[in-house]
Amino acid sequence: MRLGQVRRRLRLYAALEGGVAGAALAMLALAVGVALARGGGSAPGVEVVAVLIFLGAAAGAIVRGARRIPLARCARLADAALDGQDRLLSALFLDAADPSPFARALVADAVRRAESLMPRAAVPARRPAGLPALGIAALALAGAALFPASLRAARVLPTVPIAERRAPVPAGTLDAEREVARASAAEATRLGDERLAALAADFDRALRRLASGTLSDSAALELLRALQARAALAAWAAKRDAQAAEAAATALEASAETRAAGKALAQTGGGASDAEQASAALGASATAHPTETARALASAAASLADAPGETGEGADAKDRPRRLSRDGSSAGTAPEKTAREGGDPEARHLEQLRRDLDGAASACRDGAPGCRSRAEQGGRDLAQLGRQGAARDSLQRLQRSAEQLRARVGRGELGVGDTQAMRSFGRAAKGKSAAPNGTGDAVSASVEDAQGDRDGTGSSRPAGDDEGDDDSDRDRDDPREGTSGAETAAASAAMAAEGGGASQDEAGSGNGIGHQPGGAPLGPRPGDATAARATEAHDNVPLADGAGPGRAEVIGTAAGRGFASPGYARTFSDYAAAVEDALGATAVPEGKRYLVRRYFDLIRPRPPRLPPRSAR
Amino acid sequence: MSASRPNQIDLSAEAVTAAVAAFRTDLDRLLAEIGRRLVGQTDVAGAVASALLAGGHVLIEGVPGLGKTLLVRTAAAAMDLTFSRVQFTPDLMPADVIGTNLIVDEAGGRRFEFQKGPIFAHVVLADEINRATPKTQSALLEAMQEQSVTVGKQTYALPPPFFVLATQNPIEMEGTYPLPEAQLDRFLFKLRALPPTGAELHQILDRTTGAPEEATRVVLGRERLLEMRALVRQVPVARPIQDFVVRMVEATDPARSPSADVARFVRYGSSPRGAQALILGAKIEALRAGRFAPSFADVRRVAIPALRHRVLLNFDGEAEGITADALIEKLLATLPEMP
Repeated sequence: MRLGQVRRRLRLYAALEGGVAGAALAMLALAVGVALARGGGSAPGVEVVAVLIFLGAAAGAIVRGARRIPLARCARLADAALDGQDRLLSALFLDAADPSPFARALVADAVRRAESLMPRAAVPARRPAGLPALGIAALALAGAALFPASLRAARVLPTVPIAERRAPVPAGTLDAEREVARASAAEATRLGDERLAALAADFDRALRRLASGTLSDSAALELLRALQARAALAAWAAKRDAQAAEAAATALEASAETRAAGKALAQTGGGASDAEQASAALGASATAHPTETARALASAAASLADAPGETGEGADAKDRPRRLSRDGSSAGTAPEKTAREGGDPEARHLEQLRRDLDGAASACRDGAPGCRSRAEQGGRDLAQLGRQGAARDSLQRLQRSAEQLRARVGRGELGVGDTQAMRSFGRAAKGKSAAPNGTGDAVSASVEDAQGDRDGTGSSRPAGDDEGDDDSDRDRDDPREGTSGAETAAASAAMAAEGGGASQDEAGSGNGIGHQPGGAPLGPRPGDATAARATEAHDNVPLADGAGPGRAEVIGTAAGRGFASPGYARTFSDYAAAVEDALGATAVPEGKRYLVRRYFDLIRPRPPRLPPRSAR
Repeated sequence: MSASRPNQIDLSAEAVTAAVAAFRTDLDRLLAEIGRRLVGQTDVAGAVASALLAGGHVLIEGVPGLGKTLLVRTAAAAMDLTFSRVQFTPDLMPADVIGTNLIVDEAGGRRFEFQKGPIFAHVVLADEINRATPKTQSALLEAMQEQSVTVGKQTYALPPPFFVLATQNPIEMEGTYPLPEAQLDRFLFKLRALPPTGAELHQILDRTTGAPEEATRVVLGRERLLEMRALVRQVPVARPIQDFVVRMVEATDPARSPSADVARFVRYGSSPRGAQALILGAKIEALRAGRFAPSFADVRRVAIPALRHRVLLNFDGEAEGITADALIEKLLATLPEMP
């Protein structure tokens, strides 16, 4: 019957596919053989190759064509070609098994319908699936036969030059940093501050090299780290100078005779005219009231001695750029230490000024002729000190800008534009890799580690603590606290990524002031998940990509060990009692009782697992 | 026709062909008569007719006002069957459904006389069955299974054909007693009545706000219905089709299912009644199409109404918002018809 024709047609196409597959395999084997033979100096003849391919095809056709094809498969194909209602399949199985009138009617119906079946419709002509493989095998064979052996031997893989230079930075990416460099240079010119001018020029030069692509990422990180350290040290020194100048002005203002000089010094914030005014006022006072002026100058010298940083024991000793000193590979120690050892030129300058003022006071006290001139010089020196202190804001801005730029370079955000940077920030915020390149993982991991260390100390403060604080100005002046938590963490991460600078442990020693969440003010509370975790051994949690936790997992996790808060436990006990009452008093089907009880069992708060007691 | 077995018909091959054609014609007439009164709900009407012919009962889930009562009343009238409707309420007692013994004064003295309840009808509409207490539900469901009721020491057989169409309102769960899973299994199909489309709503308004409609015509007799039921039972099923049904029912069992979703979200799979429902439903689908044996497509067509109330989800499944329909559809999509 027709099913036999369908089966023959199926067998034909199976044999055809087997032939194609066999020929392809034979060609691949021949390609290898021909290549080896040509390498050895000989080559098989075309007739031999053709015969071998034919034999391969014939073997494939026989193997595939001889396979058993069940009639049920033929019936399914025929049914699909008819109306898809499995009439032939049912008839095939019911023909012998069921002699009922229904079965007979079914068979008769199937036979009648099969009469109209075209085997071509049941098994349509199709291209053998192995044809692409056959083509590839033929190409391989042709290549092996035609490609000159000498060229194969002479072929050398080209070396790919590795670009050391980074791609130029897109326009506008460094505009903010350029503006900081320009403003710093202008401020340096106004104040006559060579230190600020040098830093601004170096920063501008670094920006130009970054923009032109002549600076590699690693070199940029190193350069910016050095700039940041220099700026931080200079800002700290400027702050100390400002405080010293302010203290000296206050000491001079305390005496009626030198009050004018003190006021002039207190107003010193810029040009040379202020300095001259202070100098002249002090000179006039020394002429008119040498004894009182001597006392005031001695008081000003003493105030300089008490100035923070001069002795290394001031109130802001803790505010010194301790962390940044670690950044400096050459420094490696705190500035106060070098100051005490006489290695800090800024500290020496302050000590020299104190001695000069003491000398002027002695001269005036003794009625020496040099009293006026030395007092005037002291006034100029104090005014100069104030001008140096006035540069602190610019220095801090420069330091922050260098730090932020270094973090961006570390995250690989330069050269990809602001959009990519925002995307990178978004990824980092979600806890994913911050950068698309290979360094990004290390950077983001370091950021997270630094953040985790910081949070875990329990001594961190909330971000809002700075506001309304009495010494908020000092806080802002501090080179370490002036940056946000994210920036410092990113900078630390960048240092970790480049393999030098602060370690992750050191990065975690900060007090957490900044714009990032700093944890609970008094450390983790009892009952918190973090507190619970602290008493537990670390578990390795296997992670897998997927659709995320399901609702059931979320519910279960909320009640997990150590995660259920006391409030959750109280709420749970209230509801659980009410549910038991309801289940006992209401006719609830047993199936629903099971669900309700299982649900409440799943969300039951579980206490944190206690650490195992050590055997004694 | 032979009388060897009740309602069993012996036919030659030619007579079978004629019987199948008559079956198809009669079923089409029945559905056409129902469609003449009921707008839309053609799938529900077809499944109700299938359940009637298979000797099973139907649970319909749907909000009030979708024509469930009209459907079953029309079907009963079209087949000249007695019909009764019971509105289930929390204070409904079993005796209100199955009947009770009353004391009757006669000349010879007093005696008990059984007063039949509304269940003594061919077609019973148990409206909002989940509003009655489990005790009353059990009384009805026992009658559905046994086709008889027992009051005192007396057992009363229910008149064949006995068909129960129960309804549930899915939106009001307050003060309801959801049917236990074991009771749900006694329904051949669980159907969902969907709201009418805009065009259907127009048609409903045209029909119900104008002149009174004509009465339902009788298109089938009770005897003819029983004959059709007997014919259904004679339809043979090829082994591959039955094997597919068996594998389908096994695939709903979390312990044996090849589907990871079933293993994760299902508490209990279908009982053997599910397989029976699949086979019977597929047979009727084949007869409706004028064929002599069911196909894989027939099984697929009835799989969801036959299995959706027999696949019981576990906590994870309910929490994740998984539906039995979705799981069955996935099984239908992934389970090979012939291994």
